[in-house]
Amino acid sequence: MTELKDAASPDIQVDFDIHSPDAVEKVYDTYADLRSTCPVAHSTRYGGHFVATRYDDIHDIVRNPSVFSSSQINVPDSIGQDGEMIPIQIDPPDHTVYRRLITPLFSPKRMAALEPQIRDLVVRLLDDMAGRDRVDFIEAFARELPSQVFLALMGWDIADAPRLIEWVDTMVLGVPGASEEESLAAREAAGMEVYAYFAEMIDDREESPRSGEDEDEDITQILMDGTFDGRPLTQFEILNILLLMMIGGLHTVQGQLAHSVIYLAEHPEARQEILDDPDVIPSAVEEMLRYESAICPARKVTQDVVVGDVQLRQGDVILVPFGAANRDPEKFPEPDSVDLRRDPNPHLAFGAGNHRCVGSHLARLELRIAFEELHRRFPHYRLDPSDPPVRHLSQVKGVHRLPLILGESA
Amino acid sequence: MTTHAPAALRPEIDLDVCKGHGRCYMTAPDVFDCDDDGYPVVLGSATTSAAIREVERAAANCPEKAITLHPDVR
Ligand code: HEM
Ligand code: SF4
Repeated sequence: MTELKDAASPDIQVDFDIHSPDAVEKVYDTYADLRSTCPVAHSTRYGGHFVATRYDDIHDIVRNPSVFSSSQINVPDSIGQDGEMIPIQIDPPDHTVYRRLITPLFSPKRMAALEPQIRDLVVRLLDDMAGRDRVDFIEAFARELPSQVFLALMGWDIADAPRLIEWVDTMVLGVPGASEEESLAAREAAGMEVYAYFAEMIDDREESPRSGEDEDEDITQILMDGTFDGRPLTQFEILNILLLMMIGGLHTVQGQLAHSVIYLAEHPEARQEILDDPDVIPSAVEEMLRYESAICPARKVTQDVVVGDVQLRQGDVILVPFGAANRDPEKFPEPDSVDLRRDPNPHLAFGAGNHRCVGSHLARLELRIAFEELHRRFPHYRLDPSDPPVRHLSQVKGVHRLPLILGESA
Repeated sequence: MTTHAPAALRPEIDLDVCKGHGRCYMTAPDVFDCDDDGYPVVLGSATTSAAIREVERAAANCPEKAITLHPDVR
């Protein structure tokens, strides 16, 4: 029996800052180091928190919500939301009740019905890129697509996309480089604007409801007609559900599109595989999700528990980077190489357990259609060595800028 | 009758463990369907070698380890 370590043990202390702009370029190396030397590490940042890096540990943690609560999923605790974000910060049994309402909204069948509409949005964005030999892929495509899809799903005006994008950027990223206080103030201000916008959309709907024609019901209306254990949802609940759908659905898809395009720009042989056999796309989407798993939530420990050889105590916070789980060599041979046909690939990019991403079927659909149409239209593209992509870490790893040269190959 | 008839596999899904990722019905559409909420429905046993390969891949790709495969002797 080796002796248990804990938050105070000197040999598990690491200088890991999930929000540091400097950490992003080598974060997978950092995770690999931690995994092999100290798979449950402790950082003094943000009031002190643990970081897990093994697939099995992360898998066990997220599937054990009674010990690892989602009441705190961010470090620091707030990103500017008012109250808990529903359902991501709710534990069972209430979580189960909310998911019963929300899961069907994003079912594979409902999402499949959206395919023509999403393809249309994709084609339109690509049309606008035609004739240009240089684009910022973020501005031209990756940021637009998920926001337009979100607005369409809600039944709101697609022209509002730029406003949404700005608010979500601030809430997810804070003000990079600024002090914790400054970031929080900016996040709260953005949060207020989002709530006001949502409230306006709901008020509009109260004046002219859209229920009745079942199939045409949009998500706003379904939530307004929705119930929790028999009582109607409060406006506060609806706002917090909407907020999470927006936060959950925009940056994630944007980042995933951008990370995939960066990889395919730098690896023409992988892009060729897609061009030669578009049937590989669904499996390529899964492999890119594994290779760049952007989300790194936290969990709050509800009772003393041991993970690996470390004693965690009630009230402790632990980060569970799915990107670290998905590069674990114990689970994935050659985890740092991309194999578009990797099989098996039980990655955790969408999490696991009761909080499994409710938007995963939508995200997969957006990614698949984007891969198909982008490569049909622009089979060749490369990065601009004089203007490289700008990435960020944070708890949703992503890309700010992605200059692409179209029509040429690396 | 061939003498090399492949053994059949009957998948069982633990619906308490399954969280509706959908990897199973994407991987093995001949063996699994999905219900209106996105949870899997077992259509039957895998009886051809192609279906057996598919159902084995589905089990290995399930991020919740919710699928058990039983030899189905008939
Ligand atoms: C590639 C894109 C996406 C990735 C990688 C992703 C990833 C994740 C992950 C890892 C979780 C679990 C977090 C945790 O366990 O604490 C999650 C939850 C969630 N995601 Fe996504 N997501 C994506 C797209 C979307 C989209 C398009 C939506 C749109 C509705 C969405 C909405 C949500 C919601 C509402 C939750 C909370 C579920 C719950 O707590 O029960 N996500 N997502
Ligand atoms: S892959 Fe696993 S968790 Fe996902 S739907 Fe199938 S059985 Fe359920």
